[in-house]
Amino acid sequence: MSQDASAKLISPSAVLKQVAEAIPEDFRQNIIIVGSLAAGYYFFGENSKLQVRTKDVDCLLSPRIQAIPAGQAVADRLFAENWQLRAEGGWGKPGDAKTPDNQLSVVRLHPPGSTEWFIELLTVPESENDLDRKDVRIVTSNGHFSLPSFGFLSLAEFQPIATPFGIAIARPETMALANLLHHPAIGRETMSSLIAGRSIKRSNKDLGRVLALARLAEAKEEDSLQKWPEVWAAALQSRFPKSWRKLVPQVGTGLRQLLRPENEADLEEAHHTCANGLLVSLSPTLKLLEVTGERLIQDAIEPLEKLAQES
Amino acid sequence: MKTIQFECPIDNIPSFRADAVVDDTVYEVLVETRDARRLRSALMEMSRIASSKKVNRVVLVLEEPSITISRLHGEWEGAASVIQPDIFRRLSMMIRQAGKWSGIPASPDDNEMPVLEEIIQHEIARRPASLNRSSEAHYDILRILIHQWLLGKGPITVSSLMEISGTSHPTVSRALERFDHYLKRHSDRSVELRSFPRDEWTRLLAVSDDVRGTVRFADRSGQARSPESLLRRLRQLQRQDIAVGGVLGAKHYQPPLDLVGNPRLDISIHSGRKTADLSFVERLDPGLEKTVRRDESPTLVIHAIRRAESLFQPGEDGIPWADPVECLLDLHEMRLESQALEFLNSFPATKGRPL
Repeated sequence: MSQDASAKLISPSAVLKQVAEAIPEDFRQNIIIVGSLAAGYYFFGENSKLQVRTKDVDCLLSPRIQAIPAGQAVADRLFAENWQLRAEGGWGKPGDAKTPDNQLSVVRLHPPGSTEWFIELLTVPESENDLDRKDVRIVTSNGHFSLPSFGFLSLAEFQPIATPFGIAIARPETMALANLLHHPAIGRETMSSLIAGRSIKRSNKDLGRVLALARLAEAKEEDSLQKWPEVWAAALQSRFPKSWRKLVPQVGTGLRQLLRPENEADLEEAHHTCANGLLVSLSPTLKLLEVTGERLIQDAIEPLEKLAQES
Repeated sequence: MKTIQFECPIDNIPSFRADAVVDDTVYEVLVETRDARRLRSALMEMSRIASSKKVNRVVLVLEEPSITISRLHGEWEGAASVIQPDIFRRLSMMIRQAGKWSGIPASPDDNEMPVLEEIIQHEIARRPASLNRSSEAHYDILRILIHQWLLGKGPITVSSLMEISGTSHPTVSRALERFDHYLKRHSDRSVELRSFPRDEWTRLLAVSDDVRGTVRFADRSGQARSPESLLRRLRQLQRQDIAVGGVLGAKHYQPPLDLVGNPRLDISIHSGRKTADLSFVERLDPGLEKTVRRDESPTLVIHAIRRAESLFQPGEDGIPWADPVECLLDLHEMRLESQALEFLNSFPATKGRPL
């Protein structure tokens, strides 16, 4: 495990602008930003005083059919603009034609003159059955890299929100849904980096992200969580047309487990990640997160489950 | 701490028992008093007690009074003008509001505060937990009569009172006897109020929490849902046994009412004689929890309607309105006294003769 990742406070709109300007204009339409930066921009991008604590800027290349040419073009442009490969943790060395796909490094690049954050190139799975990680080879001027995809990333591709910079951001609702589906239970795996000095389970960090998104959504517009089931159902039906009904029952299992009294230590880890991440400006209490989880279940998860049963 | 004697007789003052006595100091307690007349009467009683040779000091303890501090000072000065100075200087008032102590002419010192706390605890504990059925029925009938009078509906028969209240003929008759001087009786055995029964109303206000089974809910998350959000969610439940009162209800009946903002949602639940099932509150917001602390601002306040007929008025969007008398009680309970008066004066019955 690496030392404390010491994620920095960054301005969502400034970073989004910098990323967009570095990407060839022809391919900006293929970029959807996901994760903290997207959420930060959506919820307080207009307020330059509010910042998010993140170190990675996840760029989803979409649609899948465009992902390889777009990934190669974006990586080459960034190399040409003197963006630097992130070398932390022994990662970052380019592969060659002999390197197996699953051993290729992901494109992770720091902007010129800064190591405060880096972008990471990802793509969406080829089909709804690809739920495990898949590595797609891209060949750049600096060698061979992987363009990874994960099972539920395709949800973030659903109805992304355009920005004035020419690139899009994923919807908070679909990012939350992807995280919920990715963690139907509290897992044992911990994050490879410390979060604000602590080792945190990946499921707790990702489910904590869901709670942070829900809290920010309520703060932006009261009762907005009641609109989530409709978006969730449409996204699931669009990206998982054959299996969406089977997926619905697992949307809430991980969160319900996290909120059980016997799992307070896990909820506390989720709280730690929120308090040092997306909700850093709000100083959330543990009770607030717990209530937010209960509100999310009531406003979004239960109606989605009902909707699936009735359809 | 000094020894406190509770409910203690005082020499030379027949048929009087002090709420508490410590050495030669007598304490009298008024809990949640709203009525200035009750306060004046208590001050006069204190002066009588202070005239006893065995009493050195008399303290009136006010727990969560609904009377403002400036009004209390006014009443104190008024008493000073009529009580002999050598008696008056042995009197004082100690006031606990929102858990904080103050006093007239001086606040309690650190030694006296624990004594006062214990006296209040004892007084609250010995108060009846709830009103008996007969008393509840009396206030049910009172509210029905006021409802009838406020809306200008004219006389009401005893049988209608029995039907609406769900009580027997003797119960209705006893209640009507109790406030006979406010009633106009007709030859067909119907009755109506001559005027607003202010004394009875004041008594009702003093026991309103018990009469209405009021339960308060406060937010535990630190990010409370607004009353409007709670109302939207209540509408989604499509319950016809729950009605909206409080500020929203008052504004429904009297839109021009001078009420800006809505600090909480007041609702009435028609539970009849059964204990009200409040499990629906979780559907309004899982962040709500019951509170009994009076220094905490509730987000949701629920009052039970126990009579046979709810007197709810149908709403246009899936949820009824509580009757105007409940709304009026809600305004008093929120201590919106001037708005309560304005609301009361806006009804046909009071036109031309403001109360």
